[in-house]
Amino acid sequence: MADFFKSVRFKIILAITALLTGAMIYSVTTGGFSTTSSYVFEMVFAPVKAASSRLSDRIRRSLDMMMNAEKYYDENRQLKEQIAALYGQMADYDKLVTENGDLRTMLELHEEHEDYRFSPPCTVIARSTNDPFASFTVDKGADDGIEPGDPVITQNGIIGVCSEVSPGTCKVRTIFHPKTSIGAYTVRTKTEGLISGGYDMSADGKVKFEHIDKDADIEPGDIVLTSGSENFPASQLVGVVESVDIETNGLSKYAMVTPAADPRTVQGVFVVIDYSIDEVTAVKNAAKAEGDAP
Amino acid sequence: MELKARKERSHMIIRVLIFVFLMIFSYILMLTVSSTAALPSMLIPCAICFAMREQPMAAAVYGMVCGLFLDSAYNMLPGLSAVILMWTSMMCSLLVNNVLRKNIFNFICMDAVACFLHGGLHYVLYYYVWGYDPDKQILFRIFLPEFIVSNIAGIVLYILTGIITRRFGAVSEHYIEERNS
Repeated sequence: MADFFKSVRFKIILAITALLTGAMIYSVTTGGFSTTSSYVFEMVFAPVKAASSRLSDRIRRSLDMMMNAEKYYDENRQLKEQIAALYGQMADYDKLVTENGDLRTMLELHEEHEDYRFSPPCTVIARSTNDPFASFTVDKGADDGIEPGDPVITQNGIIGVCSEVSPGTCKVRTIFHPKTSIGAYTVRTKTEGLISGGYDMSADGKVKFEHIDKDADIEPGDIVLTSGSENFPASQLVGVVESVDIETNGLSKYAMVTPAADPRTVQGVFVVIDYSIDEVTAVKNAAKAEGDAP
Repeated sequence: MELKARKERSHMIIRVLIFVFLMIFSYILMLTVSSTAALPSMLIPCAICFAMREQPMAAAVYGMVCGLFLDSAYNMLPGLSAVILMWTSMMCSLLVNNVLRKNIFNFICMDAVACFLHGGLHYVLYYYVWGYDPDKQILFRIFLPEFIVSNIAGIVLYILTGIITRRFGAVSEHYIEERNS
């Protein structure tokens, strides 16, 4: 054994160790942007991750079809019944006109966020193994204009932020992660607070809406939106309040919120690579003015 | 003798290819199987199994590659698992070649040490020091089950690599020329 420690081979192992340690130290000193070693690392592993993701999706789909054939048969029958009922409802033309009006309102809301600049649609290519906070990797990166800290959203609501970016991939830290704190408010009473995650909540698929004033009017069913900051755009849907309770210190309230978009099951996301800060201020002022009104 | 050397070389190539395939298979399994329960960290027993079947230098290389795959699967700092597994694999190989017997009990012990080192460092550096787990729930609900299932998965891998090494290991002395001479 002593001969091995004196051999050239052992010196090679020492050299590789020094190289890897140097790369690690360099990695931790860069703020979010992947280092050259990480670039190479992600370049090598991104195609493997994407291929394995596609393979597992195909296997899962096939297994699902085989195992749940009876369930799908029943669902199909139910859906056919529903379609028949919907044909009847189609006669109600007036209702459709009203719905059309609602859709126009939604469109106006969309136009309010014209300042958003989105990345190309991103696909989830890998999920971190055994990560209690459900972080994942998407197939778009710095080459598509994504930077560390950019918000990640879906049509349903917010998902998290980009934590590390390489040219072709981006790691997403979800809202379940304790490090992801987002300012938020309730639509009904404009109650402000902070959205944050934790292990307990992420296991149940919930986030905590904390630092709420003890006397604030907040109840289950309230809708929670982001209040906006330099790090996160305003008026993005976070979720719905499930329960409200007083903190153990008795000084403030907290609420458990079910996110509108579940990061554990999401398959495709958008990264907001640019948005106007003025928009955030305008929304904040409007919310404040509405809250102050008698 | 030349035939024997050629046969040994071809055995070695097949063995390396099977080990690399096992490594990639374990990596894909870790990445793609979605479960609410903790998944085994298959690459750690993989590296230890290879270490028990190979010389220290080769074991260190296998360990480093398994570690890099592991860093990718866990989204950890590139190189951290590589360094841990490179050294544990090298030490395991040295121990098995010089001090310990090559049996399943020793494998379980070494696998447990490797899993403990990797899991412990992962937990401490990524959760504990940042205060993400004040009630130790992540430790007991994720890392401890992962440690146990990784060791169980390791037993299967140990048996599998044993079969591979027996089939594609060193060529016995009674081969062609020796038999004729």
